[in-house]
Amino acid sequence: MRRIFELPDGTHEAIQAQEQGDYLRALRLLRELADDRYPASYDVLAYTLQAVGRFAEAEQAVRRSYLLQQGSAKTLFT
Amino acid sequence: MRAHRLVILGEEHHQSEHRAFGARVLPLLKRTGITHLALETSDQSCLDQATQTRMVTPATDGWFTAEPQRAALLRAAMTLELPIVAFDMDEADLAWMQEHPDESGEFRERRMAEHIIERILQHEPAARVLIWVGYGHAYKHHAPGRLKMMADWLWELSGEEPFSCYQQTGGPPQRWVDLVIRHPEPTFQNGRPDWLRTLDTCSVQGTITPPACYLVQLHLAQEGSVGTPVDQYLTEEDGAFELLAPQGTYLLRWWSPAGRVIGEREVELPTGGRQLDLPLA
Repeated sequence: MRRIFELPDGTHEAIQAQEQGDYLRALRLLRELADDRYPASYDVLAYTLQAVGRFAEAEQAVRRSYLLQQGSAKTLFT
Repeated sequence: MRAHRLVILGEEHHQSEHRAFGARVLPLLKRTGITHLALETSDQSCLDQATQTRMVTPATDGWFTAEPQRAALLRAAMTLELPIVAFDMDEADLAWMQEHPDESGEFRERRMAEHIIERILQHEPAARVLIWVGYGHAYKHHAPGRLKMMADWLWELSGEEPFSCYQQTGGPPQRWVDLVIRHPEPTFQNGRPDWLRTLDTCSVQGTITPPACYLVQLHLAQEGSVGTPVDQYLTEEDGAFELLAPQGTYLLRWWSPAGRVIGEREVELPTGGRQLDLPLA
């Protein structure tokens, strides 16, 4: 069965950390998980960077995701 | 816009500013007759809990309300007593999509439109709904061979033409919407974007020692540390921060680079701002 969005294993743990308000743990995990094979991993990272006020870094992550997704996969967020 | 009872307001999810704009414009939209906020999210029970407890936490809206401006949008709706209705995929929809991955894209668009109709319009025929979406869900038309998006489905299934707005920062203007709201590229001061500096925001600045990257948070006093921060900033190595929020009483907390809360204090934000120095205890 094909997954709707492809994200690296471990993303759920990072999202759970963020849901619990542990932003630094979420950010550390998502930085480790950002992977060119999973363009959407940069979208998730970008959202967390926005959440901690690092907007310029978030923009870089989004650009990376766009670059990797050109003409192929869909973005995580639609 | 006043002539339409279905108003779509689109954000680019990677632009916090778009959600901040939504929170600011919501009171004006209510004055034009908006009665509901329909939100691109799945879990209605968490939204209901937030409304009942008057508290928005990082888990209220999946993990999306971990982002301060998304939380601000929900708080604005709650302050205005606007019912917040989830219209994204529910568990049954997701199960169907997993079984039919090649049809999942258009299925989701259609189901979102159906949910708005079933959960709001059928129950309250006089409702006027602000539908908050991301990216292309706001498109009222589609190119041949491309996905028919939520707004397009909503128009067809409800028989009412929505008025669709798309917020955009950079890039060529979007097609297939009625209004494009262009936001300028932000400029930064003290690491903070200019769009955070509105007429009603106050500034709290300080430096944490010894110099390191700290996470500094400003929570609403009435929500405490459980609520999503109103503003927060992961400092550079110098430990300097500036946070921006409306006048009021807040809980200021700061976290060590190792991820531990190492201090907190209540602060009053007066107009004009204040300077704080926060030595480690």
